[in-house]
Amino acid sequence: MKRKISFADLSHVTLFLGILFAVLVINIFKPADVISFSERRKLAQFPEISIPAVLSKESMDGFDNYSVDQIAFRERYRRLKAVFDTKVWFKSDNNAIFVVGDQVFKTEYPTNFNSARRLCDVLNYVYDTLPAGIEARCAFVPDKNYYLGETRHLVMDYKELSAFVYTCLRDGIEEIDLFDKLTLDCFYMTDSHWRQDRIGAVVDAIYESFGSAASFDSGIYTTEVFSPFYGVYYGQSALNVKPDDLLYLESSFTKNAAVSSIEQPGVELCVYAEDQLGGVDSYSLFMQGPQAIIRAENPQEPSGRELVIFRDSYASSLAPLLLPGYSAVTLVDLRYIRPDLLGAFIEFTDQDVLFLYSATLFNNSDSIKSPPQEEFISPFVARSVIG
Amino acid sequence: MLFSSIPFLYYFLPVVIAVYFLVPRKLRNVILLLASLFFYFYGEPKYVVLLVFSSLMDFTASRVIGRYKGRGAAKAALAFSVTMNLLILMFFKYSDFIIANINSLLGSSIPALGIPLPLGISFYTFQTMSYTIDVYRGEAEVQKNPADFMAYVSMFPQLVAGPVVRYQTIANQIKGRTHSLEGFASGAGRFVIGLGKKVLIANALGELNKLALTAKDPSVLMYWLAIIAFMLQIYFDFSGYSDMAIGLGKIFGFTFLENFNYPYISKSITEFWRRWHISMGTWFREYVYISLGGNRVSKLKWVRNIAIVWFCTGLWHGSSWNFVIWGLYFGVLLVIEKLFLYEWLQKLPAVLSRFYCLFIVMISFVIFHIETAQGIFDFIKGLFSFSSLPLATTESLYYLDSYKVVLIAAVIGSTPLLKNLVVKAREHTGLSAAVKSVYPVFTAALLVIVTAYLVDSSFNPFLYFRF
Repeated sequence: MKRKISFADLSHVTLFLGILFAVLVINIFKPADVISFSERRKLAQFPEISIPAVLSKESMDGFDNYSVDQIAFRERYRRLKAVFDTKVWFKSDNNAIFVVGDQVFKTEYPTNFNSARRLCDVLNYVYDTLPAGIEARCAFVPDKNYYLGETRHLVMDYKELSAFVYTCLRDGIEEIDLFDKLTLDCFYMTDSHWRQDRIGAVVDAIYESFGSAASFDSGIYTTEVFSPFYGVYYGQSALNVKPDDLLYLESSFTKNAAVSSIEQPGVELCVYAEDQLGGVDSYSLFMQGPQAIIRAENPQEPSGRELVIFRDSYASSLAPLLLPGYSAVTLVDLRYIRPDLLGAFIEFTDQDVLFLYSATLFNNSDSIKSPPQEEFISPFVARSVIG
Repeated sequence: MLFSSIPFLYYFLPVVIAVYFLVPRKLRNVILLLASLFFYFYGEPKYVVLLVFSSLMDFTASRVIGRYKGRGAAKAALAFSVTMNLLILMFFKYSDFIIANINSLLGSSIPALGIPLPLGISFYTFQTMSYTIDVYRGEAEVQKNPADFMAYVSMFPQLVAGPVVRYQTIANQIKGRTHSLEGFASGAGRFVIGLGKKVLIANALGELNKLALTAKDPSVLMYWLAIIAFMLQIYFDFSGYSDMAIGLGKIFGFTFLENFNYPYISKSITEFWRRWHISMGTWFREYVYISLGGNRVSKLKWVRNIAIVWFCTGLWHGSSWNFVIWGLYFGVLLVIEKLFLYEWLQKLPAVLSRFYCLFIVMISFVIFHIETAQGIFDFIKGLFSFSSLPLATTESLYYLDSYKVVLIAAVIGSTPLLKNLVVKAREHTGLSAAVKSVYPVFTAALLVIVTAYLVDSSFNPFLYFRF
């Protein structure tokens, strides 16, 4: 006897197979994307298929990554997951990203004192190689989570970390306290960085610390706007948050500065790399983005006074505002150059030296390059060896 | 290849389903075999040879057993099959454990072999052993078609993480099985529900467990969160996998036995083991406990039999002493229950006996989860350090708040409450049609949500893959 077909079973099988085959067919015909703008990374491509690659499982691992990275409607799936996590599971964050009002934050927790100590050791190494009498300062940049105030989210103890950093650094490196120079409004809503148009107080604190008569004068700048600016957290959150406007301050100093990078010898660069706007990271507008050593010379300041900033990306938007006070500002990123190699590119004489790092980098200093081990003995290691 | 992965869901599965249902019936076992070998090859390209060797060895042994039934050659073939399976298992799974113990006992320094554990080896060696033993006992017919036998051993729905399907359970289905729309629909639903249990619940609980174990500041709440999350994670992970295996089996016309039956509602450890990983428990009872004489021996020998079974059960879960202790811990409790405690527990109010069982199981999972004796001791101490540790910290309260809905859903999902509600609604004349029409939409939505989670996180291993 023939069984009667149930409509429920038929619709169940149709839906199940429909989804499976629809995704299969769409994925087969969908051209592969190269970059995920929201995640700011290259997407996996179809793997090499060869006998050695198959036997070593490289092809299969590659296909696993490819199939996930290249799935059609990837961004919509990511958004669905974020919505499910936050609106159904009511999780406090999605992949450590959380939203308060219009601001997007990333959980930075717990405090990693070992990491901070490691960065301090490298900075001390740099300081020890500087000529005697050079003026050195350190500015610890609290990230925007510090300004959340009373919150149910996990926030590290920024004051404690900052105090620890200054304890670890050489006595000759003086502190520039930035905690009260910033507020939550000084940061982008969808990005980790501070807004260039709101850090005048930071510029003044640096000038003051080095005994410079210069000060931040908003009147000399015209404000340029790029919109919409999708900050680093925008893509990571995968939620429907409002993008930012990216504001940058132009002046005769920024327009006339001669900018050069050791990575592009002989090429004349600009303070603002406008070709980066709308790219993977629009924040790379400032001082050409990630660079090992980049130098901006200010022909309008003949004093010959120079500033060298050992820095992370926060200094990229700060440096243009320091040009009026210096003949040259050099940015050194120890994530891209080993500190023992600096002598080949910079001759240290009497420059002002500023170590400017965010709390996030102190807490995650793995990317900072150390000098070769035989030359580099951390004072903490040395102390324990002697002890 | 993981079931909870994009390559499986949206490449392998639709292609296999299409080919399987398009070819003539007589070729379906061959398709299933080829698909299963590809499935295994994708995860373990080199060890596929071991899987084929193991299957062919047991196929040959069983043919000899069948041919020389009741004679010495049959016994020798059985002994050969069992010994070889155990040697394979010992070499690939336990050699480094044995070497480490020899080194610590004799002070020697024999280097570890560092052999990667072949996927699913504990499952498929047990299946093939059960087959030859059943043939020897006359409880299963000899399979004469090597392709059909290999299709049974390597069948991808249950190959890498069970359930341990005994040959006699599906012998007739290998020969010929019916495929129906109803069976397909029911299998698809079961598969997607298992997928949801694994991806939406077990993985979230795994995150919570990891966060709690690596918390900056310890607190009593953190210890409780860690172990409760682990208890629920392992249940949803493993039972989710079993659901997927059973569901896939149904799609291809097979009926596998249930592997979990809401173990956390048990009122005794005896009952717990009737509800937890049923296929493994059945295997050890049938092939070890009963072979040793079961309970039809002197009390001393009975205790010995239980000790052997639970020593093996522990060791089966992993090549480390904590697993052995975990198994023996249950062995001791089962002896105690069988001697007197079980009867007492029956007289207690259900809430108390359930609390007893959950507490014992919780402690067992501390032993299971934490590898060192000191770590186990510290963890158990942490659970009850009400005076020396803070009850809660900002961190632990944050995680509790963040995962509270997942935890509540997991607790409810580990009881038959939802299942009973659905059954009642189906029986209700007014609701039956609504439930029937909502269910396909629900599973389709669940599949899309699971896909969203898989897209967001590509690395998604199953806990039971290395057992």
